Amino acid sequence: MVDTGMPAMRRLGGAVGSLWEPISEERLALYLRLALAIAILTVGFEKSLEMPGDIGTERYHLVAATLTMLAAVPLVLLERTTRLGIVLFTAGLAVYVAVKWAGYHNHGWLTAWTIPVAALFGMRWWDSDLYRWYLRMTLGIAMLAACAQKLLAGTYIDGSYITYLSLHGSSTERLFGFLCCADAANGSCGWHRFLGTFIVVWQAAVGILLIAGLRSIAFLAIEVAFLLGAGLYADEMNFQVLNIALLCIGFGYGMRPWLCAICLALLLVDTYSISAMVDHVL
Amino acid sequence: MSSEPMQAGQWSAPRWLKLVIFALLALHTVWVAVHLRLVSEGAINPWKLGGYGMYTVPHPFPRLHVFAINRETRTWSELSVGTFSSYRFDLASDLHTFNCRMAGASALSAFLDDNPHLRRMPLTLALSRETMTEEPIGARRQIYATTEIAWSDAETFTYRSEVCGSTSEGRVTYAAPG
Repeated sequence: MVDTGMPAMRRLGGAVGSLWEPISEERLALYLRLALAIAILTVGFEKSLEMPGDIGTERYHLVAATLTMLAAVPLVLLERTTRLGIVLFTAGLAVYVAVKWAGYHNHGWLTAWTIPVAALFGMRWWDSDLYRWYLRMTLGIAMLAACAQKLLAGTYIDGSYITYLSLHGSSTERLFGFLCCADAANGSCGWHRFLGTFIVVWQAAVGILLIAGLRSIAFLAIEVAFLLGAGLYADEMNFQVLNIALLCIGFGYGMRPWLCAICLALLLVDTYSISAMVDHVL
Repeated sequence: MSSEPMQAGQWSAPRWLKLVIFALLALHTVWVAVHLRLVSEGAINPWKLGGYGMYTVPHPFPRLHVFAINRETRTWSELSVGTFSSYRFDLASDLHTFNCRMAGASALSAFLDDNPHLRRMPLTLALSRETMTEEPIGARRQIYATTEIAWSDAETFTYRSEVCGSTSEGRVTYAAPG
């Protein structure tokens, strides 16, 4: 009876340890291509939800662009066709950028900065240290930009945006409402100020560490966990999956099957929205 | 734990590619600075054009309001949502990403293309957006731009737009599609 917990602990330790185990070059290459395929899938998936509307408004060029993006996913995964997949995706993205550039937000523009560039790195783009470095730098710049915007708005340092979400946000965004009483509307409470400040400091630290060149797997794991948490809170998993996929390439870790399964599940959940599911259950 | 989990790169980048990569990073950094400046001036929706300012303020969700003269009461009244379409107007106005952009001739023509039942009628179009309030913490919808349309004859209208304290006027010869 005394030892019943030990095998389970050993299995858990083994599972955690396996995350760091070296894998063959061939397998790593596959996982890196898988990460890019997932990154492309996040865009194609998001656009595919708009397809009925695009068909209804006779914007067939957007429908064609979406189908092109989706067709790029399996092509990127295969070694022989991976570059063709990136070029196809870029063509689809170019249509969207031309038509909707002003309406594009974080997801679309981050994609435009990161994925088409891979085609410049030859048939074996995943072998390029420079591409990985470029991804880490781009994500670092985006993190620092988001941090600067939060400082500029001032709504995180004073906690008012967390309070706003707690009072008026969707079900998941009200997660931290319990920390403060209803009177928080007349001036954000200490806990919301703490949370807002923590988020700003976290983004600044991650941005600086990415640009400084930290490539520890532990850092990647913590950031992936934070992104998943942020995605659950903001009920926007699609963008977080894109970030995770790009980080996995940038860190040379690739999209391991277990992480791929989580990301695919989250993409599916995103179609219905976590808030809608929570509301349905409650 | 390894601080170098990846295999060393097998492929050495040529000099031109390194220059391209540095140029892209420089361009991205410059755009971030420009975006920050535009947001600080209130010129753009912080959620758009890169979205670095997402989740710093509530999404503005710009919305078009249309006012017309009620034929029965002879007074101005707002048309209810669903009695007009703002689809092409929104697209022609770049989804109202730029807060101080006037509704120009192309956007107004696009609105009339979508709404044949509102042609040759005096109209007032107004744009509203959600803005964050401090006391109490919340959001309030406010009108920030208006455009008045008056018809000179069956095919010509004049307009006067006001946004961000500036006014612009124009005259448009309107040709209905198809």
